[in-house]
Amino acid sequence: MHSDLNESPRNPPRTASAEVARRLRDLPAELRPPYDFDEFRRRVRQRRLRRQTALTRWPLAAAAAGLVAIVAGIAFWGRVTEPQLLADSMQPVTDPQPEAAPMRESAERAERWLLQFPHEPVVVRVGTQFVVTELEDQIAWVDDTLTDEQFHAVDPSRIAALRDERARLVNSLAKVRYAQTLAAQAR
Amino acid sequence: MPRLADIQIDDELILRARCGEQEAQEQLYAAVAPATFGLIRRMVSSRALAEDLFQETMITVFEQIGTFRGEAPLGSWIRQIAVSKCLMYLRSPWHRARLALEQDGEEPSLSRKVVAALLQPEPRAERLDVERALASLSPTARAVVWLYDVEGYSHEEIARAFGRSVSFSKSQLARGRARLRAWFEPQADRQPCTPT
Repeated sequence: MHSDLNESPRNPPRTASAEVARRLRDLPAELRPPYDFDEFRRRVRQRRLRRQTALTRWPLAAAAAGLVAIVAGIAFWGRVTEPQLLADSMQPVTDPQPEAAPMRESAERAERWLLQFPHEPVVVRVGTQFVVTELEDQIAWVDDTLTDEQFHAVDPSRIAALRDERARLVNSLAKVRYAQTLAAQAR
Repeated sequence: MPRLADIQIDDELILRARCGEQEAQEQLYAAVAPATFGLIRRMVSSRALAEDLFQETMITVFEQIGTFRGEAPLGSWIRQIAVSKCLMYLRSPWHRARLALEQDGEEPSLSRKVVAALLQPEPRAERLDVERALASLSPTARAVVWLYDVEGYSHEEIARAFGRSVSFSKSQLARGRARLRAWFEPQADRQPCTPT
């Protein structure tokens, strides 16, 4: 703490500065606080509650983000291995797999569910949105190919394979969009 | 009206407040809150910000009162917390970025000059408003002037609190005082703008 003795003889106390200091010291030292003790306690409780809520929410948000990452990873892996699967499925088959029917039904249900989403979500995560776009592009490509094949009526088994492929892509897309929805709700 | 550092609090009251007794905490709050808010309000110009810093200070006081060892008066300990909260704000990157925009400590911006001119009271020395004069200082100069001239901090203590050099404290004080002196100068002593 300094005192007036800090002023050296070579620098005598300047009256103007002393006057400034005096005016400042004359200001009231106490001011009415913005709220009383009860309001202070209420604010402290509210703050603790907010902290606790944040602490309990972050594991949920992390879990949702993890789920999105896993589903996106699965969908992405499916995309990487798809050319081989697609090439395999393009081989002429005389007898389409009978177990494909439930998958197509599931894809139809998924497609109806997907229709409720806006084409471009307002808030997106770049990672998952990339996968969504990729899947949508592939579905569009399969749709184009199917239209061509059906128009030319070349090979019924090839059309069946394309339909199976489309159902698989739609199911993957539904999983990613569902995970996106969960993540958005957890935020 | 006692300053925060001069407030005397009964040891028994402090002990009861440390034990979490609500009535004692309420009495302690009533005893120190006005001076604490007064100090913070002088250190920062914005009332909303002062309220936030006041809340932060009081929360820290009640959370940390168990660590108060009684080596200095409780008021001094609370003052240290309040000053530290204010300086933390002044040193924050957000605030420094804002200061950079406002050209802290240098010539006041045009808008500040206009505001100061509009706030200028009638040309009678006794009507000059000290609060307005203080508000015309940059946030850093304001805090340094207040800590040195009113709270009695030394340049070394101010430098340590700001994490800067002693010459920083001295130059801020000189600059702040010069501006305050200019503000308090009687209008009659000033040169007229137009020939008479």
